[in-house]
Amino acid sequence: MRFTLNVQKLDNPYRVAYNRILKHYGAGSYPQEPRDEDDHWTVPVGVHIQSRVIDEKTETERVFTFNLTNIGKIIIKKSTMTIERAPSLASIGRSILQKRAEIRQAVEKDLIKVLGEPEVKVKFEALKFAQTGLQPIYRTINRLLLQDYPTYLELEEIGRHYLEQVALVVNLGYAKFTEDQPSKLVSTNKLMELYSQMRNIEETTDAVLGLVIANYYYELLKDMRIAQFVPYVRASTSYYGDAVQFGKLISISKRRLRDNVREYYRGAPMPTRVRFAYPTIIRELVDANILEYDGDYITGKETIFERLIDLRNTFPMTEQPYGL
Amino acid sequence: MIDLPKKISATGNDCLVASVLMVCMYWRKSRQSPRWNIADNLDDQEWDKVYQKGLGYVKMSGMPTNNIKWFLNTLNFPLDSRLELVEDTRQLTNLLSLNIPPIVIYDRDYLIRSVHGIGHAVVLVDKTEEMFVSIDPSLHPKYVYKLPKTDFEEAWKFKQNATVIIYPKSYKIRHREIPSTTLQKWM
Repeated sequence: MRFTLNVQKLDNPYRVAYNRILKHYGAGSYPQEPRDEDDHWTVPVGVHIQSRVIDEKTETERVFTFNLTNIGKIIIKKSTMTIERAPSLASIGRSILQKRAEIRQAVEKDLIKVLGEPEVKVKFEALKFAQTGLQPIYRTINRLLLQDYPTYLELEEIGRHYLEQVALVVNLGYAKFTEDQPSKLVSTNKLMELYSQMRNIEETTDAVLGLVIANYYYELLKDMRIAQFVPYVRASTSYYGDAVQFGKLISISKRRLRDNVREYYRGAPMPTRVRFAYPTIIRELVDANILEYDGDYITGKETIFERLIDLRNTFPMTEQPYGL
Repeated sequence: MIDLPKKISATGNDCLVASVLMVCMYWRKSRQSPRWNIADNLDDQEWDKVYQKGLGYVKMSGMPTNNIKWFLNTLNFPLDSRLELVEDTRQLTNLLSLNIPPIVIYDRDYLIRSVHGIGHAVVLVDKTEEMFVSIDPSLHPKYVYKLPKTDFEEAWKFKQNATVIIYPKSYKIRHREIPSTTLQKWM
């Protein structure tokens, strides 16, 4: 059989770019407004990415579309209206992951700050594995509150890593080195004020640790290579990221939370030596007052959620209609 | 009306794979030929495997239409595929009259809410004076969705009238290129 089809001539940059996009990237992508630049057109590429959030307890699903712009650009020669340069599919994929990482980091940064607020009362001591990496801070605050003041030399002898973490507490103003010799690490009025509010050593230590993490999480991770806190942050970010997107606290199974972490942190490998069982992470996050059990499901804390919900307005997303 | 012998449910970026497979199944049933190397029974597990294989061609930004060609080639189906930015809905009517079910990519968000969104693929199976009848993989178990013609035209135009045509290799398509009416704007 032979038949004739009338097709649109590829004689404008928008159409040329869209033809390329559909053939090479897919219908999720789209050309943005072409820019006139000397002898060529530059057409930035955007992409719509769908994201589903499910509240398993109420069996409610909401589908959101993220609109990520400028993930690549197609250069079209004016004289021939042909493509001179266009990103590869792999490059488009990398740009999408990068844009998603930016959104994820916004949630992660805000969550870390919220967890560090003393009013939220996170019990960091319950995060056993994280404690192993942050022992210098735990021990130092404990000693200071028991009025056991170590000398600078003593701390230096334990190791540089120890002194580096102590320096973070000093930077926050909760401890200081005396000027007389031998120089000693002593508590400041700020630490004693915190102690008088908290009224016990454990809670004061937790509060200082929270503030250290809130202020120096990325320095701890990148400069000091203390990664033990990462699985906890990733699990909580994945939960609260979805809850913020959904607009209210959701209840999900442990299995879904694990899958969410994998999806949420796609393209961001976990540092080595910090892969361990999700049931343990979740139990400890519940003990630390970051998450909560809701029967067989996991849910979040209202105090944390209400501090994060404003982030929702900054997400480049629209909600899809579901059901026609 | 074209009768698609089996409907496949899909969400998100998988709508194009589901549409492609539904059209392949249609051709399998309507064009009996020894060149088919897959079961005539559409409930056979082989078809499930084909669908799963198709999902492997879906990327984060959707399924590139070039991948449909490669997908059909790896399956050795006696079918070919093309992406066409067709002139208007008359071309769709022509295809339907030739019993070729076109897969159209349109902006469903725009059709429903006047907000731009992801390109959505559906198979057209019929047309009336005012409607196009589509089989929409995302609408399990109903599948049939009638698209008001004028609204559809507008939403489809945002995707440059993109149409994927899957047809037997023995068919020959000739093109007549229609220049853009807004050519002046780009000179």
